[in-house]
Amino acid sequence: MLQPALPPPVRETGTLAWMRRNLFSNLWNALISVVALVVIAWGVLSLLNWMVFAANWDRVWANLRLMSIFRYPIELVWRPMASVMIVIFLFGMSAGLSKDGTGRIVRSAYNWMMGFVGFITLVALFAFPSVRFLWIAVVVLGVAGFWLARAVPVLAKALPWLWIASWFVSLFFLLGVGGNGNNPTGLEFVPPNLWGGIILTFFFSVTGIVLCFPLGIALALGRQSKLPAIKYFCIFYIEIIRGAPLITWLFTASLLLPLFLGGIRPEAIIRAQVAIVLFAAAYMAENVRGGLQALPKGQREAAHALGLTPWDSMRLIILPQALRSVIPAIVGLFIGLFKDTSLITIVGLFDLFAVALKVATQPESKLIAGGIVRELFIFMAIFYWFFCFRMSVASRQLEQELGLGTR
Amino acid sequence: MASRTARPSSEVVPWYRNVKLIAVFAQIIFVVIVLIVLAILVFNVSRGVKTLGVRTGFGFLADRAGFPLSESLIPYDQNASYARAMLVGVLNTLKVALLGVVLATLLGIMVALMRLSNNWILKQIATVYIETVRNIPLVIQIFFWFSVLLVPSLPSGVNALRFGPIYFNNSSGLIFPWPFASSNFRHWTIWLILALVLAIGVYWWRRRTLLRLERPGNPFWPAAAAFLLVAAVGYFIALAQSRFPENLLVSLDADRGRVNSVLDVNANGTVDNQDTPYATVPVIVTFESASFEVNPQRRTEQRKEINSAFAFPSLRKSEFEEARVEFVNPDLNDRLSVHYTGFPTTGIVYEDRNENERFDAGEDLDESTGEGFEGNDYKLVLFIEGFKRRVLTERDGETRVPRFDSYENASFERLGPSPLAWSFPNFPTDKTLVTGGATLSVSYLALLLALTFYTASFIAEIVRGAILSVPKGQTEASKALGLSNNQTFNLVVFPQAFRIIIPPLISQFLNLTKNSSLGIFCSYQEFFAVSSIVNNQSGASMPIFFILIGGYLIISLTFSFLLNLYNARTQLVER
Amino acid sequence: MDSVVSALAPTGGQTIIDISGLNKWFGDFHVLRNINMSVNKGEVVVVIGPSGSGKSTLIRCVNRLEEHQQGKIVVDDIELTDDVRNIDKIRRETGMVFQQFNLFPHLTVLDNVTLAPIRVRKMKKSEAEQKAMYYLEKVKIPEQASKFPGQLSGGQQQRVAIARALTMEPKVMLFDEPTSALDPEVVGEVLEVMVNLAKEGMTMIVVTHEMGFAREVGDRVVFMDAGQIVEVGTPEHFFVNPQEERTKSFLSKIL
Ligand SMILES: Nc1ncnc2c1ncn2[C@@H]1O[C@H](COP(=O)(O)OP(=O)(O)O)[C@@H](O)[C@H]1O
Ligand SMILES: [Mg+2]
Repeated sequence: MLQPALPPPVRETGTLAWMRRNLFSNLWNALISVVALVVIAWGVLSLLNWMVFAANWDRVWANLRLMSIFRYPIELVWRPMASVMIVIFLFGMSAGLSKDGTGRIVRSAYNWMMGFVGFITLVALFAFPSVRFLWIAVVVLGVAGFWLARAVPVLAKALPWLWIASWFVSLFFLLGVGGNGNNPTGLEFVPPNLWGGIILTFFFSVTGIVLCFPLGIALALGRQSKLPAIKYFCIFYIEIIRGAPLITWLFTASLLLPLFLGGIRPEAIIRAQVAIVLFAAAYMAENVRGGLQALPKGQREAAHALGLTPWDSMRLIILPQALRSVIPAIVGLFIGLFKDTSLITIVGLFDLFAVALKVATQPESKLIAGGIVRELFIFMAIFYWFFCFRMSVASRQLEQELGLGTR
Repeated sequence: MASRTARPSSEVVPWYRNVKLIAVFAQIIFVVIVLIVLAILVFNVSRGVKTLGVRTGFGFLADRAGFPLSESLIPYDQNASYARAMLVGVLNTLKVALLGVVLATLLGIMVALMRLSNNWILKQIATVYIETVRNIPLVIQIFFWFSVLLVPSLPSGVNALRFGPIYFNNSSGLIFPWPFASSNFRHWTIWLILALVLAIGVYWWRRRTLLRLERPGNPFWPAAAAFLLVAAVGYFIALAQSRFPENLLVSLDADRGRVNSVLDVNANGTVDNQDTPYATVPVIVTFESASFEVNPQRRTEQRKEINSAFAFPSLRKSEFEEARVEFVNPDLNDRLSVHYTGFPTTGIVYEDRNENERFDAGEDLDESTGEGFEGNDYKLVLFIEGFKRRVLTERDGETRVPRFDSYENASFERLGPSPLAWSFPNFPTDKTLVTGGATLSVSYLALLLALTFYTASFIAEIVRGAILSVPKGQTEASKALGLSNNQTFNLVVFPQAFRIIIPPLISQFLNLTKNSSLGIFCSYQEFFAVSSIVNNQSGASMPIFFILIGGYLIISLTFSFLLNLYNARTQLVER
Repeated sequence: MDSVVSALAPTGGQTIIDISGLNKWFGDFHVLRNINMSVNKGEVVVVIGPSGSGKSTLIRCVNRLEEHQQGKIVVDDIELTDDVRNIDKIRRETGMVFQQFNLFPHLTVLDNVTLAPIRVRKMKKSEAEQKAMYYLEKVKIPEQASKFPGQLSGGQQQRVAIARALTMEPKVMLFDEPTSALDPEVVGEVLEVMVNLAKEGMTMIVVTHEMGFAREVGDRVVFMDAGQIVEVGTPEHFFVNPQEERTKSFLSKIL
């Protein structure tokens, strides 16, 4: 007779068993657990206590505008907000159009983003009447993008182009068209030295990654080239740039760029952006090279054997595969850039960090006992952490999805 | 074998269709473009050198630096050359990078093991630590350690925290006893050499014995024991031989790396050398103890403490106009502004209005002239690389610099006669200089802590990833062979993980070293910070660019050389 | 210096591939030594030989995946020189099937197959797709057209690879061990496609270890060792009555 399947012997389940296994498996572990729990509880409680009762958030609150848009004219605030709307709208479309595994990651990032935007909108609704409707519009567009894309799936083809266009349109909105002060369209020129705070942080990192992309690909291909002149030039460039820290390149760009350009002195913001793009390109090149090297040799050979031209085989066969496999690395590079924008303080630009330092030195801030550096630090830490952490989660998920993490 | 001549071609191929020639031409075109771009740059630079008055050539390196540096591993004062100042910067970079690398590795391994432990709490702590520290920019972490944690929460000046002979305050930093080689050190050197030779001998002998007996074991420990034994015995013998020299010169702090820069101030408090760019003098902690000469009739004068938490490289002289800074009072303009080689973009100005050592929100310095700078793009602040400085200003615009103690007034310390003489800090209770011991400045500590915690989070992930990447079958196989848990980890898992760890670890070391250039954000005078001061003073931006990039490149190449060495070795082992 | 076996004169017909005095080095390593060989239209030449003997290198020289240093290669009256135009022409006239399939994993089967006709032959998309479906039917997997290569079995992938090469309507097909990476149970389906192809009169050079295939459809068998052609013969002659000592010992090992 067939032996019937028996239930397993009683297994320990439930909280107690879990605790025994994971916290108190032996005396030593139990000791560590208890001490750690006590220390953590004390630390978290005192931090919360400080944040709620002792910290003085008034100055941070009062300077939110300064830290978000710095000296961008407040009556033109709809323009940076328009960029936000465009991005959110496209983000919504991307989420609406995504289907497979990678799409899930995009969608969950979108949900996070909408949650965040929704939160700000709620705050704005009650506290900031001047931007109330703009934020509502952001939310509406974010949702609209999603459903539009759902309804019209053919938009998927246009999406990459829309994303590229969005950068130009955002730049256009931020910068305006000229006519100082009395441009009837409200699109008067806003010189970049008025930009600052969070919009500058975002603008710098996004522009950095966008512009370094073509350059990075070119350098990576050059480094793989069989032609020694091109190959060694690219190696030289990449290694020199990676050899020195970003801060030295920012310094160099701000001091020497005018010299190299024969006395033309671009705005500080452009000098810094050039430095960041040239810097990021070297790292981008190394990432792309990783993707190129991971591509089996047979792909290139098959393309040759079919008679594709080098240009076609690069465009249709090699790059699509190589770039796809390095998406996580590119996200990582973007996180790095996003964090590194805090260095542009060094050339006199006002990103979030620099504005925060400025806020700390305001006379009103210094009237507060002990200053407000702690509050400012917490604010900045949370801001950066929120975005970087979310992106690194997405990067890790992508890595798994693309089957790179499981090797 | 047939000779390798070119393939005979039956028809003549036009050059633009010949793959070989296309490659050659592509390269020629590329090189020509690069050369044209270079030529344009060189042309522009050479024109700029004339029109913008930029200095070229490395001759400036021999010039007098004229600014003090608050931390130095080698003797330095402001009469030293720019070259020496830059060397001080390089050494300061190495000082923070080397210790940082060690600490970050230790912390990283610890966190990795915590993450792999079977204690849920430890795992969560490690995870939260990694996910937090990685995702916040390093600059902001430096800001945290320096401006949020250390400077505000440490007591200032003479109220230093004290643990026995160790002092800790937010101006000097951590001051602790430290052994210095005395003049009797030479009695001991012979023993040290002997110990080293013996240790090598023991190592070699022990290795042979182990090989012969075919036993596992590490010959390192007996060798180390032999070394320590001989060195210790030698120390006591050397101690017995040591004599206090009759005319041993007192060793100035300047020889210990804590240079107390003294301005060209003579005994009655006036500045001898009017050219001294005193306002750009990095102001160091010891200045706090400088005595002030306050004119009794002018008790109403303001005493200002300028506390620059962040020193930024100032704009160059040619950018003065851009900043639209003007002194209304021409006298002040002469005496201060010319020496403020720059206009940092921000800074913190504190004022001690009630003279109760509590520094309230201050105004900009220009308030002393009755003229505010509101509305300007840049705030004018004293350019201060160091930490604290007091400036006396008077309402009528006359400005006086504080008088600093000259060398004669500084207190000295005689080192004892033993080969390694412990120097104990002599912490001032009055307003004299700290002498003796060794010091780690607050800037150094803040940078070290920030770099360590930041880099350790990356190292932890590298170590964890490597340990997890060792296939489970390896553990199972070694358990099946009867090895214990510890043996499995030490003999099977770790050696395999180690190979995977090394390359990314070395690149983290490199990152840490490069990131130390952010020391400028906490006034730590490393390579980059010193270079930017030198640039401000000398205006030689071209050569400094080459020195900076070249210097970092040498560091990077050293690391990649080590990595290649390692790769070559492991590959050899694999064969 | 080496024994040079002159190519067995093709039995009538028109020469489509003519290789003479071919030498190739990898660095200092002389990998192909004075190869002479010609292939007629409609002929199936099977190349066998021990691993590392230069079989792959030989057929990869024919479409310039490897560059040769000496000798002459003429395909369909076009000489393979440094002239890009000739290289492009020859690659258009030759299809190649690799041991590792080398399908493009980011494209669907249909896109894999239509890519080259559209980009290289400048065909219209609809026309290319029609043609692609024709050849996919020929290799018996029209129903997989919209799948991605990763979703197919090895045998199916290799058949797609054959269809991909055929859609370019080449005059010559080069096969480099097309069945070596396949599980034994799917080798048959690929060989069947190849046999049909041979029967329809396609000119083929096939590097393979499938002796059954060589016997059934091979017009000639070429045995290579150490970079040289050691022996050439019809399958009957070759398998039954090999002349050379090296051939005998090789055959005794694999048969
Ligand atoms: N790209 C290359 N560089 C150097 N040597 C190569 C290269 N490709 C093949 N070889 C060598 O040439 C010889 C012939 O290779 P191959 O033609 O692939 O042999 P087969 O296909 O007969 O097994 C082998 O010894 C191989 O190691
Ligand atoms: Mg082969």
